[in-house]
Amino acid sequence: MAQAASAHPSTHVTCFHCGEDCGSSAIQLAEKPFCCEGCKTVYEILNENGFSDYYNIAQTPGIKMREKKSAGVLSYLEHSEVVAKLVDFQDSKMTRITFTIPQIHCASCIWLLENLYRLKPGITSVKVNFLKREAALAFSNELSLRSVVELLASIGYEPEINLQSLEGKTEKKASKGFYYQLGIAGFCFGNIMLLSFPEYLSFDRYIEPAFSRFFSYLNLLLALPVFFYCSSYYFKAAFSGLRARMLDINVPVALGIFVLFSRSAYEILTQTGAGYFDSMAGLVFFLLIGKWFQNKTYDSLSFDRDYKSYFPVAATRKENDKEVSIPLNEIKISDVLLIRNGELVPADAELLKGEGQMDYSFVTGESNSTKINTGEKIFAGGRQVGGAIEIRVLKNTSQSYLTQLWNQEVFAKEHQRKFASLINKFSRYFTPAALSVAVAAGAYWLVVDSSIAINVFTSVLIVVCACALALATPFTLGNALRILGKNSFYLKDTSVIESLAQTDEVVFDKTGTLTNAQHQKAHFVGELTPSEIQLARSLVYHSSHPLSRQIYDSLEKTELLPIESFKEYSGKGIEGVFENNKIMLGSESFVKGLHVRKETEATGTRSWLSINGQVKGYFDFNNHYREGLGEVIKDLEADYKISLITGDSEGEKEFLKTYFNENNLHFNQSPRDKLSFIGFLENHGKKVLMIGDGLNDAGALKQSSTGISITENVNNFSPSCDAILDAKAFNELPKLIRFAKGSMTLLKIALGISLLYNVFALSFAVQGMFTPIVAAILMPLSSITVTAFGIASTTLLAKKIKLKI
Amino acid sequence: MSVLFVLLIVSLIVAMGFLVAFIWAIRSGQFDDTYTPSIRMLFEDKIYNTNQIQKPLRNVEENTNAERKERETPFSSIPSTQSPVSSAVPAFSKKQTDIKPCAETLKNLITTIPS
Repeated sequence: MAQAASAHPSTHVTCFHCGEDCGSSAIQLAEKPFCCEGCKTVYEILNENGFSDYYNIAQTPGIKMREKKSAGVLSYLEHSEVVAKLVDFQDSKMTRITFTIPQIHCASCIWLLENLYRLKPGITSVKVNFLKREAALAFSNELSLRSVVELLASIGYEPEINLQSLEGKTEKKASKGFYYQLGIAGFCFGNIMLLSFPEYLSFDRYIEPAFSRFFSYLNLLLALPVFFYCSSYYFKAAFSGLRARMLDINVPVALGIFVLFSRSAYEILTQTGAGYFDSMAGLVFFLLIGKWFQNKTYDSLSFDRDYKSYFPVAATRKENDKEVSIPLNEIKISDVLLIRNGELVPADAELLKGEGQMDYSFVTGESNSTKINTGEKIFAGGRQVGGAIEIRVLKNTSQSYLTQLWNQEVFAKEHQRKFASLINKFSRYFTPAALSVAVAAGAYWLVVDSSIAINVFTSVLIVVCACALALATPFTLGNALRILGKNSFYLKDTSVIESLAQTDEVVFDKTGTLTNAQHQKAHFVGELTPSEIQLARSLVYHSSHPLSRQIYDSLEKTELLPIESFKEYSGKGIEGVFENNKIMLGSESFVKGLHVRKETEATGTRSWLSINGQVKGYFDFNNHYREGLGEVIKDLEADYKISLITGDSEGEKEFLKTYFNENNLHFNQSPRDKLSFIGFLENHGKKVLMIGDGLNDAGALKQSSTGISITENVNNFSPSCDAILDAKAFNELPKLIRFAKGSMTLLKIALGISLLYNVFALSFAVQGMFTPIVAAILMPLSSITVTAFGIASTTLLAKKIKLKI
Repeated sequence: MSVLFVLLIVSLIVAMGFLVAFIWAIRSGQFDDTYTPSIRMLFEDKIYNTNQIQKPLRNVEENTNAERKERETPFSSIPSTQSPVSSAVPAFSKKQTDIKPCAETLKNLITTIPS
């Protein structure tokens, strides 16, 4: 159906399905152009079944399918144990499963997926959660899971199934309980305040004692759920903190709530006063709001990905010439596995048969693929680029060199960081000080006028402990977190802001971090006439190999000529014919037709070009460094020591010397070297900020005080880290770090404001004049002041630094 | 004034009713996904009959036999987004004509898709 474009003027014809440029070889169907068979096929499926709305809801909603999967890849979905681990629910009639589909990106996707039941009878319902990029399917058992996945893949929405999917989903029950607490606290707070109004506004004499007793008992009743249910988190946290001998901020807060409740309950039951339940409920409510504000999660991001998210679910084992698909955890030492083009090597192994060409870029940081000879060792995590190979397993997946890196304790780091946060350090002095003031005041009054001693003791405790101090961090840093998120810098939690502000040294990885792996430029070494450039570009258009795409993007835009007899030899090159001109592009041995010594091959990735048998030269692939790299480094150098550690060779040293100090450049670093480099600095008291992107940086990212993972697409895999930086925000990095530092200063000011209120209220408390109405005024006032200050000041700071708000 | 007792109790019960409704909403998962329903409700509801070839609806008199409802609803702003933060992209409306859903062709097509 492809129509050779004979004399088309160079118009930019875009594919109706995916919006990409069709060049001059657009495939036509029903007067609509398509860039490839894949897009056209999806259109056909949708149109035949009344799904044309897909194209009405959003423009060019499709995604071009780049890779053709071979038939056997999904055979692991037929294993009942794999299916059992993946599904949410299964009985004799139907199955429910939740897929993660990263390709969901617009309203059309939602529409298409939710109407899938019309496309395939057997699928009962589909419900999409857009922010999480998930689709929950229910289908009857007449369909196999494999057929459902294949259907989704055929329309361009192949679900992502990796080893992590087998582990099961983490339950979100915890957050539901939190919403209950928030709702009940709000309800009780409002009603208690309403019922306390007569107490404030009356002058006791005018209110009938029956009413005031009634109101106070109602208050007690309403305060019970607040005390026992809504503040349970703070009590639990305080107890565990005390048991670990840590005086964090939850201790005074829990103490304050407890004293408030017990004193008020006592006063009401003995009818000696009205109690402070309004202040207590108000405090708990504000604290919970602060927690909610601070815990804004990014649904589709994950900061805790480990190797399991990277590895597939199953591998193909060769048993007596039969190919059997087995789950990854059943791989045993000495198994022979078949690895096809583009597949991941799941365990450390040695090469038995085939031409091994390993792309370790994500794993060790080397950007060029390495040729592996028979008998040589291959590491888990490498991707085979080339034909299919057979390997013999040497170690289990979990014992492999790479996955060992993941066995570092990440929990310890997070716990430590939380404890070392400013507010907890503060409370270590604050709590004893508060207690001693209370005891002192109480002791004083015990001597002078013992009737109000208890009154003063409890008042001081209430004033000092149950105060706005605990609100400063959630609102100030919570707002800072939100602002950073708006600027495409996603932090795991507020404690990361603190560790970011304390950075001493910055360490960069190179591949993927400083370089943009998708936009490498190829430049040609040799001479090419314009017509030859046109031939080369027309040839590479037909190949989906990443190097071909780079060549295509680097050459000047010309009209694409129709190429006949296009053939791609994986791992070697491509060839085609135009009007009796034979064009060949690929490795040196492929193009020159002779066996080349290994040394020549090792000097970097080169694609040689020959036309009609004449070798014209080769394409060399430069690393494309991110724009603005120079400014970023210069800006950061003013405040921090900058280093670069990379798994790459010294080839780029000259170029990098212009940006970095030569002594701070470290090449040929294995993942373990990176880890020990950071560890060395950290052990000497330096706080290191590490910026990396791949699995090879995983250990280093965990070891550093703050680990940032930079990525082109935030939905993609990024290793376990403290923050995710979208690549388009790379230029803002110095500003973002400055903002974090500024936020910490603002936090300190907010704590100061809260302390001022404390001192002011103390003056009432020590005189025994801390009545419920004074409490009812001061506590909300201090809470609102601290909250408003925290939010407003961080927003103003963002404006000043010219961040987006 | 003693009616105040009754009034307060009753108002507390009413307020409690709202609280119960809130808790019920959380339990049934209303707050699990607050974004997708906003897009979902803008889709058109169409009733598809797989046995009939659909005729475009022009006059109300011709409507009697058609089992399919057609509404022209311009979509005003349906967000299309590639990041956690959304932005609105206007879409256009199109009238559905000549749709021939056919169970046979769809089955054939599904089985012959190269995977």
